[in-house]
Amino acid sequence: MKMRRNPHRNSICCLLALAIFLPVWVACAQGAPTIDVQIGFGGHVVPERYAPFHLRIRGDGSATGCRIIVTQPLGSEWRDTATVRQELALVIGSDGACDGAVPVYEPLNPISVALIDGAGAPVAETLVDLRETRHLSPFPLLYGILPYPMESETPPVTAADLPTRWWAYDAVRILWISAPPPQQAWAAITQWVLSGGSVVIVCGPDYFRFDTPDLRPLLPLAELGIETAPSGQRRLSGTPRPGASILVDRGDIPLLVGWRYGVGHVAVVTGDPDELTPDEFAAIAQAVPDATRLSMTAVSETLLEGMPVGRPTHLAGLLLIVLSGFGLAAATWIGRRRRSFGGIVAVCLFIVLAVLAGLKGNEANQSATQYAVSTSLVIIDSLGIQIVSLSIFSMDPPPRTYPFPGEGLPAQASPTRLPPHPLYSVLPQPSATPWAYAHTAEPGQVTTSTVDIGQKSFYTYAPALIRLRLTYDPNRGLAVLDNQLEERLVDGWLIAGGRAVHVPDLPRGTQSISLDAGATLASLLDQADDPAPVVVQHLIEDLPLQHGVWLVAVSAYEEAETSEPGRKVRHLGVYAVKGDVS
Amino acid sequence: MTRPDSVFDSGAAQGYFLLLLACGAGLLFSIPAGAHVNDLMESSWKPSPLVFHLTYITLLGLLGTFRGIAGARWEGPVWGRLAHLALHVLFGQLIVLPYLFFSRALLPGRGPVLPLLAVYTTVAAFAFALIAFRLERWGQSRRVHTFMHQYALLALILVVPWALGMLSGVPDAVGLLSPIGAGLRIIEPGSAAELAVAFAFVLIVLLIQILAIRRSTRRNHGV
Repeated sequence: MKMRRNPHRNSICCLLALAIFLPVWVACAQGAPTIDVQIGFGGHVVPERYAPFHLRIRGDGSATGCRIIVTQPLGSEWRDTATVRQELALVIGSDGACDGAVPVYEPLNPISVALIDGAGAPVAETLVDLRETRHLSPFPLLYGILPYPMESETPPVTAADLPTRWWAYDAVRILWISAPPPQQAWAAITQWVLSGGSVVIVCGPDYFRFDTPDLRPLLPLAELGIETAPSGQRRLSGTPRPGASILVDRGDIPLLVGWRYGVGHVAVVTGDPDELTPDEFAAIAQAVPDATRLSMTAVSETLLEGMPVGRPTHLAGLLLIVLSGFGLAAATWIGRRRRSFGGIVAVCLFIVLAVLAGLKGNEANQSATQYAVSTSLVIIDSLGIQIVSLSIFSMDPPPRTYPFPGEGLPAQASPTRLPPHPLYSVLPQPSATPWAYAHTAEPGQVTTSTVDIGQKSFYTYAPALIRLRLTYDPNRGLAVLDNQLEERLVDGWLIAGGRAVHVPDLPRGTQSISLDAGATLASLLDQADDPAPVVVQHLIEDLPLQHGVWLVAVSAYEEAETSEPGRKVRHLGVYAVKGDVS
Repeated sequence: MTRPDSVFDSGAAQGYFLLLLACGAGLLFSIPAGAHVNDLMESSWKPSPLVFHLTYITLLGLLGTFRGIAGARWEGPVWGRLAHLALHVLFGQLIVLPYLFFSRALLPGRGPVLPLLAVYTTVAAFAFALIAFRLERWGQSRRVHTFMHQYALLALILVVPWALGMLSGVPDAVGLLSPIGAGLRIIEPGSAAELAVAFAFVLIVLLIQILAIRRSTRRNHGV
């Protein structure tokens, strides 16, 4: 008997299959997260500068234990290609987002951002194309609204876009602030100005909407208040701080007051922004100086160049050759007369020579094939910043790992000496990007690649704790220094109003220093030991040491202990502290 | 046939002087030229500190070949001649020993590998001496001029596996078949397995030569 087939059998099977596999598919689809990445201010970046980095994970997949890898392909086939691969030490929050700053080298190729798990397998990946929004030089940035449009393109930013790490503002030329930024952004902005940034606070009589404890020390005016002119116009008023000046005025009424804070510049629009004329606004835009960038790379490179090379001398080598030659001649001469005696003489002579050569070798046992200088500059005003620079020179081709003292993600400085390349000898050197080699930078260390023979410099930025405080009483000419640093400071210069005194030792604790018998800083530097003159001379060019009271101090410039043979590393700590004038 | 050379005889002494001068030149080239790092950066020519070690390995192999050819012309029992050959190679090693000790300063942290390199180079030089000895004896028995054969073979063994080992896709172990590749790996230093392969290869070659010489000696005596 033939069984009849259930006519609904196929439909039931399909439904069953759907019921089983649909939840699995949905689960799989949810398990694969995607990432949204924003680099720069709305994508606006400058090559060889840090840029803000925002990452947000979408989807229900877990990102616990995942690492963020940023890969930047550089160069072209003609110029040589290279890859910069950086692992970001960022913790992804419970909301699936994290913020940081990454150095952008050459945004002509899309930048790859990947989320990888503990085993190194990619969890999510995306490409960020910054070709359309890249700038060749720093650009102005606007937070808020200005009464008139700027001449150059100014990317507007929202409160969420304002970075909380000061080096993320690296690509900004002038930061215009016309609305109160979030509280946590003020510290970063202040630290950026301390390092060379330029900020304009367009507040006028609305200042008290902006007022925070972080902002007050940044301003060129103290004891702030609101003043009403006879015409009825209101403006921000206050006592100018030493070094503050009126940059733009309307007759007797100052419209823009500015001063130098650290290496940077702060300007405040004191008049009501809505009452500014286009000409006045143009004058304000003209009067504000651009941001500068303080770097210790030049100092590190200079110190590296001056590092002595540990090696046996050619003269010692030549002497050994001559002695060996004479020894062999003598042994041969004797051996031709009495063979056995010649043999004994040869053995004794060459063993003695070997021992002597070994002793000479011991003398030069400090020889090295890798040299490194790390320089850490800490600038302290109302807040502190740290700029760390590491310059290395290696004669060894294998990859090497250099511990990096900074907290942030290291960036590579433009090489001053291009690596040898057969193309460079016959063609003009490419002018756009000299990154003709690869490096891998990870938090706390830099790994140089196999093609990386020669000199390279890396740098990183960080906030600094205030462990060195200076107060100065101008009436008594007495400065009080409170030193709570772990590092031993061996040399210091106290500078006030163009006069300076040398402080040969700065022990931990509190000490009083009199500025009565001051001399010029230049004359004191003539008598100082290396490397202090190089460092202080570099700081004189960048820091406003002529305004206010400053202490510049350096740590011992000593060779650091290193576990790796053949490596010489020296470290120098430099501190520049602005005094609080009481 | 002549009586075995002394290491102080004219022919041998010339070889030793050449070894001493050439290795000395290699040693001078290996010393970095400059008192400060800036001098090293400025200098467009930066020879590796390994120049000396490469010269040393090559020239000791050359000395072994040179003495091996001479040894084939010596009179007396084969094993006595081979003992003389070993003595000549050891004497060559003795006279460059001061250079090797001095070169410790050029390889910071890698001093302990130098005795290993000295042992390897001596064994390799002796192996080259035996290869040259056998080839020369073969030429003599067949009245074939083999003068260049030994040196060409030396160059092939030194260069070809090393060059092949540097090509992508070729196993690294191939480079260890060349004394240059093996010497560099000893200095680097390579893994224990790599060093074992390098030493095993040179010892096998040495053993093969000794067995072949013994067999031919027995055959000749039988005849």
